[in-house]
This record gives sequence, C-alpha cells and structure tokens, in this order.
Amino acid sequence: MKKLSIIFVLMVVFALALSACATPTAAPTQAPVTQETAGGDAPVIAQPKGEILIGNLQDESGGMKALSSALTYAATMKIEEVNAAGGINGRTLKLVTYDTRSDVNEAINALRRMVEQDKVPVVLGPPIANIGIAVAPIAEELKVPIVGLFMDDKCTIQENGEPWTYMFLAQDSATYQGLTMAAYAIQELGVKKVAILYNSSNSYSVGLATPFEEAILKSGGEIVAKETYTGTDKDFRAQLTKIKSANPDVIYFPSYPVEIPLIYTQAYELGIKVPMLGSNSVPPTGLAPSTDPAATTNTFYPYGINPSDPVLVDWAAAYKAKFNSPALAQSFSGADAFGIILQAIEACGDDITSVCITEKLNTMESYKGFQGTVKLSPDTHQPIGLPLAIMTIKDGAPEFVTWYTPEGPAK
Amino acid sequence: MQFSIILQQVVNGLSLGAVYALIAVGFALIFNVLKFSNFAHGGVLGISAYAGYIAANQFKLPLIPVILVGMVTGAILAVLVELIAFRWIRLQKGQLVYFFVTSVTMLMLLEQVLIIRFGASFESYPYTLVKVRVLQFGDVTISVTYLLSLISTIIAFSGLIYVLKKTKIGIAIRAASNDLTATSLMGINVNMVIIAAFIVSGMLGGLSGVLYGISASLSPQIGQIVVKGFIASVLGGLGSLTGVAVAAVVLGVLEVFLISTIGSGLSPVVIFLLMVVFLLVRPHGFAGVSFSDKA
Repeated sequence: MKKLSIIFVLMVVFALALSACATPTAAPTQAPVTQETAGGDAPVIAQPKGEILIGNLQDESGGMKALSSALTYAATMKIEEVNAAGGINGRTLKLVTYDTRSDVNEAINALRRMVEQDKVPVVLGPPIANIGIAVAPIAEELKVPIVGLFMDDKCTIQENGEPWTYMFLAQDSATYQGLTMAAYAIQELGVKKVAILYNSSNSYSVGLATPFEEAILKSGGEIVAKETYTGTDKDFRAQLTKIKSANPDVIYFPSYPVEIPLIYTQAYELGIKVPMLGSNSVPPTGLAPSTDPAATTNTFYPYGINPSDPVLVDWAAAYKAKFNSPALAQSFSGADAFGIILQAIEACGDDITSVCITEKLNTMESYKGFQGTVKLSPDTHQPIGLPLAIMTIKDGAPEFVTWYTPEGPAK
Repeated sequence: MQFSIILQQVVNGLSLGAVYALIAVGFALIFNVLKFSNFAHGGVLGISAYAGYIAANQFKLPLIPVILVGMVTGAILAVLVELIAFRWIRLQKGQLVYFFVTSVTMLMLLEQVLIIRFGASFESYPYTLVKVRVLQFGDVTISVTYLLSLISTIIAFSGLIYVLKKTKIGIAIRAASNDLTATSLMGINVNMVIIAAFIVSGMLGGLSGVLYGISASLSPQIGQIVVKGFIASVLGGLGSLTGVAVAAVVLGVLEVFLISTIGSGLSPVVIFLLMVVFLLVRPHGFAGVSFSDKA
C-alpha cells in the first residue's frame, strides 16, 4: 500500500512536470462582435459595409508574448495611421485580437471564433511556426487567408509540394534563413567543422537547423556535433561541453529569445570562443542587460531589416514611445505582413471578401515595406529572395555587417 | 571522451546538483515535520526569485542584499502559506492527502500571481549582479553563479544541521518531526515549531530561487523546478536531510551525463523510470526513515 501511494504521488509529480511544457488556455482579449456577411451557406466571409474587421491571432499572454505582441503593436500603429487618413475606401479598420497563449488548440479555437463569429475575412497570423502548422488546414477549411511570420515551410507548403491556398508568409522562410546562414558561414567565415544546438521540439528551430545542416554537408563541410534540447531547458552546459569537445569552427543555435541569452552566457562560461551563429530572434536592441557583452563578442545572426536604417530608426522610436517596448525584428516584418493585408484589401475595393483578398494576395505584384520590396511567390506563398541583413554584436549593441542570400553577398 | 571533458561534465553536474540540493533540503524539512510533500515550496521559490529580480533590476541592489531580499520574502511567504493553507487542515486533523493537494494548489496559485503581475514571458537578472562570471582551472571552467549555489548549499546545510542539533528550536523541530502530538504533550508550542520550520524552509526556497534565477532566467513557472527537489528528496529519503542533499547532487550529475549521452528529450523519462524502480526496491530512499504514511 505504501509503495502504491508513493507511485501515485510520483505519477502526479510526473504529470506536473509534463504540464510545465504546456500553456493554459485563454479567453479572447476582445468580445466577439457580429458583422454582416454575404449570407447563405457559401463559405465566403464578406464585409460589404461598416468597419473592416481584420483578425489578429497572437500570443498576448503566453511564453511568446514578446514576439507575438510585436505584430499586434505594429498592426495597431498601421491601423491608427490608416484610420487617421480616412480609412480604406472611406471605411475604417478594426483589429479583432484573440489570445492563443502559444497553445495550438487555443489558436485553432480562436481562429474558428474570429472567422465564424466575428466574420473576419483575413487574419494577421503569428510569428510561431508550431501554430502556423496547426492552423494551415483550418484556414483551408474556413477559406480565410492568413498572412503571418510563421517561418517553417510546412506553414505555407503542403506535403505534396503545393502551397496551402490560404497561408502566406511575409518574411524569409526558415529554409531561406538557414541556407543564408550556412552560406555566410562557409563563404565569409571559412568554416569546415560545424556544431549545431537546436530545440528538437520546436518547428522554428528544427526548420532552421535542417537546411543549415544540409547546406553545410553539401558544401563539403562536416557536422562534428549535433545536440538538442527541449523547450523547458535552462541549462545547456552538458550539450555545450560536448560541442566544445568536438572542436568545431562555429556553433549554429537557432533558438527562441528565452534560450538565447542563456546559451551565449553558458558557452562563454565554458570558454567557448568560436563564432556563434544565431537566429532572427535576437532582439535588435541587443541582449543587455541580461547578457554580459563579453559573451557576445563573436556572433552573427540574420535579420530581415537593418535596424540602423534611418527610416526604421524613426519608426522604432515612435513605436517605443507608444508601447514602451523596443521594436523587434518581428515589429518590422509584422508591419509588412499587415501592410500586405491592407494592400490586398485596398485592391478589393468594395468587394471585401475572403475570396477576393485571397486572390489579391496570390496576384500581388509587390509590396514596398520595411524589409524592402516583398514579392510573394505563387508557388510557395513565401517572399522571393529577400536579402537578409547579417548582424553582429559589438559591446553589447547590435551592428549591421552585410546583406546576404543563400547564393552569397546580396547584389 | 577526454578526461577534461568528463571532469567538466562532473563539474556541470555538481553545479546543477548544488541548486537541486538547496531546493530539496527546504522541501524535505517540511516533510520531516508535517510528513507531506510541500509543492507550495516551488511557489515560494518563484515569488522570492522575482522579489530578488525587482531588488536587482529596479532598486539596483548588489548581490548579497538581493539574496537577503529573496530569503526574507521566502520566509514571510512560507509562513503565510502555512497559516492560510495548511494550519486549518492540521487543526482539523485532515488526512495527509489534503495537505498534498493543497500544496499543489498553492503552487499553481502562486504561479498565477506571477503571471498576473509579470505576464507569462521571461525576465532576466542583470548580468552585472555577478561581476566575475567564470573561474578557470586548466581546461575546466566553473560558473560563479553555480559555485555560489554550491557554497550557499554547504553554508545553509551546515547552518541547518547546527540549528537542528544544537539549538532549542532545532531540537524542538526534531522532536516535532518524530511525533507532533507527543511534542505538544511535552509542553512545546508546536505551532511555533512549525512556523520556525516554514521560516527556515522559506529562506532556503528564497535563496535557491534567487540563485537559480540568476543562473537561468525567470518565468512564472520557475517554481516547477521544485519537482527536481522532490525527486532528490524521495531518492535521498525524505526523513534524512543529509541523504536528500547527497541525492540532489547525484541527480545533478546523473542528469548532465544522461543529457550528454542520450539527449535532453529522453533524460527526464529515464530519470523518472529510475526513480520508480529505485522506490520499488528501496521505498525509504538512500538514507531515509520509512514512514507509514506519505503524501
């Protein structure tokens, strides 16, 4: 009996430990509203008059709030700007935000609610690949387009190679970013022996690590260590010690913001001195005050924008003044995602329907945004060849190095 | 594998084990007295870690005052948890399972308090709090924050043993851990003894919260690290503080070697399986006393 009760307690503890990986469900941040629809049984979401509602599927209170809120803030700024200028075709815009808390089930429910109850004809999607993958078939079922920053190829491309009809990516994909970093490592840093440390339970991290590894191997390089971690890990010393013993020329760690300062710090503490190649989740303001600048003296990571561009600096200042939060890479690319949505809505004129917006997204020639001229490929629903800014960190502050693509330096 | 790498992994494991030991000893102390697994200790640890973060980040206090803020917060909070959550059950002579369920509920409640105040995102202590981050010994490096945990564990553990063995309140706590009713009949104020145990446990929780927060990062779920303390407590034998401390260090080393061999994903599965098997063979742990009831 005693043993049984101990095992019962262990089971509860095990369940508690596992629950640490999950996030609780959330209520919508805004009460659903009813809008006129085209009526009938047709799966067309239409907004013939009144405010134009745009869905916003973001993590507003979960572990990815920092990145996800960047899109909400960017969209809010854009909406205020457009509404102040009289709206689109005389109609003002309204954002209908639902909180996903980074939970895929909550995201699916939220998407259904915003489409079926609020009748939004288009949705601004999250910067979270796991959620992008989960909602792709739901968007297909609901026939409502989602434009977001979900970087994994599986968010926009089906297994058969065809694009998901209603999923659109507004920044470079994980594959493109992984290939670009591999090209930079090989061509500019001259590396041969590479170590990879990535989150095996995260689509974003896997989506970046896989093409990077393939490109390194294809170029004749060697993967001398490939270590993984899971989402709740805080101590990476075991993996980094193993990596150090493999004596790599460079370490690639495509990680989320919560892990990045810890990996830099722990690698530094273990005396690892080789270049550290990161992902676009490093904040544009750098890693201070949480990370010792000495830990980030030899690092490179990709960005969709050059944060020192004067135009972006001004926008970032206005953003910070408004939200008391520094503009992230996702703020700029999120503004572009929302801008693409608005351009498609504007092109639809009075025909504000999910069908028309999808069609305009598919046929959009280009959109001029913070990331440059974004052209969405009809074959992948991803931007075509946007160069990436390679960034480094000097004395704790980010610094632009060069523009790069998977083929080499950007022309 | 090179010797220096093995040595580095041992150091990594000892460092991690030191953090677990701090958590486990505070956890086991309450078990010794009240005979239930106090998961609310995780909530105390979490809020103390955030209190230290506020002291460091907003009030720019140096390391030692930050640690003291964490320990004082931990002590106050632990006492509040005892008064609000556990005392009534004890006075009603409630079953041990009620204590267990209440302690898990308190952990969740305290987590939610952190989510409401700080959101679900993460925070970090400023790196300037620990000026020298790393010590180098040949090819082996030691993180100063983890070294602090190790030293703190030794000091706190030695102090705790001294208090338990040499002071009146310590002797009263030990008496209470044997039999609360008999201790009461001896004229000892049992409520005060229990409060003292919660104060000490809370201080250890606060200390471990701040040190773990500095070496990792803060999120409202930080208190769930108490599970590691629980594992160490069970393996060590919940009746023996020394056994618990040793088991925590063994757990840290084991975890590091499992991560470096079978990977981070499988490591917790193997640890839990080993724990189940170990308890089937030796239910009272490495050095613990066998209790007729546990919760």
